[in-house]
Amino acid sequence: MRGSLACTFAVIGLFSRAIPVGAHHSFAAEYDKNKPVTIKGVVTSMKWSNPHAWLYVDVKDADGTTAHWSFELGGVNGLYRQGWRKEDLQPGTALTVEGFLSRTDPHVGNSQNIMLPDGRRLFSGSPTPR
Amino acid sequence: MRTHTARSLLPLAAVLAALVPTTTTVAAAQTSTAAAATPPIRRMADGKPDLQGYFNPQAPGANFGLEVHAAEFGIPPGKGFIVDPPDGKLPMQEWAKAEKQSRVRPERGYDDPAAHCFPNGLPRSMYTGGFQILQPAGYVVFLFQGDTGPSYRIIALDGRSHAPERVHLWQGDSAGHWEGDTLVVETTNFNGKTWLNQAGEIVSYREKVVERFTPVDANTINYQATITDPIVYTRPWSIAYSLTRSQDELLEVACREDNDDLEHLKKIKEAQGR
Repeated sequence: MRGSLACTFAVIGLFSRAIPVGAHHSFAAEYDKNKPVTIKGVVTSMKWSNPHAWLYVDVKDADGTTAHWSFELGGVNGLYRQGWRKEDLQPGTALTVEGFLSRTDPHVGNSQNIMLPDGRRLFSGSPTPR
Repeated sequence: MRTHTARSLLPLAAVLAALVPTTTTVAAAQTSTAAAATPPIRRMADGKPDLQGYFNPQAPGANFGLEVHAAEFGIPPGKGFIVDPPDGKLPMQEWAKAEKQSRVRPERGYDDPAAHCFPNGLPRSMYTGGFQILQPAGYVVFLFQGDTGPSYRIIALDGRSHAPERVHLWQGDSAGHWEGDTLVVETTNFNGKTWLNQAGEIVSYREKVVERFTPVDANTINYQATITDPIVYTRPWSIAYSLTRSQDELLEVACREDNDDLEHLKKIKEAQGR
C-alpha cells in the first residue's frame, strides 16, 4: 500500500488541480469563495463515505486549545479512481489543508489541496474554484 | 485478481483522465490517424450494433451549464454542447430565464434534486458520469453510477407505446428502435422535478427527449439529444457530444449514506427565509 500510495502521490501531484471528481451539489452554494482557509493540523480520522469522503483534522490554536475541523473531499468512487485508499491518511498524520470555509459552520471546509510535510500534494477531488 | 488488476491500472488511469481536458486539440488533429487504427463497430448476432460496455461522456462542464461558460468559483469551464439553435443558447421563455437566475443563488442549492441524491433525469444522466450499456434480447439497458447514486434506464425495442400521461417518472419512460446503425430512443412521462445541471437549467413534466446513439467505431458513439418542452422553451433544442469506451467499471455510490451536504444547504436556505 505504501508503495502504491507513493506512486499515487507522484501522479496526482503532477495534475493536482486537473479534474473535479464529485459534484452532486453546488460547491458555490455551500462554500464561501471569499473565505479561503489554510490550516495545519493532525489527522484524527478519514470517513470513506458517500457521496463525499470527509477528513477530520485537529488544529491547535495559539492558546493551546484544539479545534476539530471537518473537510469535505470528492466522492469516494472518484477518489478511488484517482488512486486514493481509505487507509492512506492515517490518524496522526501531520498535514496542511487548503480549502474554502462553509457558509454555515466555522470549522467545516471543502478541501482543495492537501500537503504533507515532505512537500507532496494531494488533489482532493472538488470542483476547481477560480 | 480483478481487484489487483484494477488497482494496478489506477495510476495510469489517473494520468489519462487528467490529460483529457488538455489533449482535446491534439486528439482532434490526430483523428484521421486514430480512425484508421480503431476497430470497426461491434455487432450482435442479429447484425445490430453492439453498444455494450462502459462509456464515458465527453461533456466536461455540462453539469455546470450546457452553454459555453468560463470557469468561475467552483464551476469548471464548459465549451458548450448545444448544436441547435446555431447560436448555442438555450431558447428559454422569459419566466425560465428568471427562474434559472434564481436557482444559482446559494439558498437555492438545496433545491437541486441531485443534492438530495434523486435520479438525474434526462439528459443530465447522460453527462454526469460513466455508465454501463447492456443489450439483453429486445432491450438496451443503461446502468448509471452518476453522482446521485445508482440509477438505470431499461429501454424496450419492441415498439411499445409510452406509459399513460398520468404516469410521471424521474427518468421518464423510454422506447427505442433502430434506424440503420443508429439507436433512436424517445422518452416522455417525466416528473418535471429534475434540473439539467447546477446552473439551474430547466425542464418540466412536458419534456420530451429524442436521443440518437450512432456508433462510429468500436470505441466511440456519437450522442445527440433533442429536447422539446413547450412550457420552458420557445422551440426544440439539441445537444451533441461523443461517448467513449473505457476499461473502467461501475463502482458503488450509496449517495444517501452520509449526505452531510444536504443539512448544510438546508441551513443556508432557512437562513434566507425561503
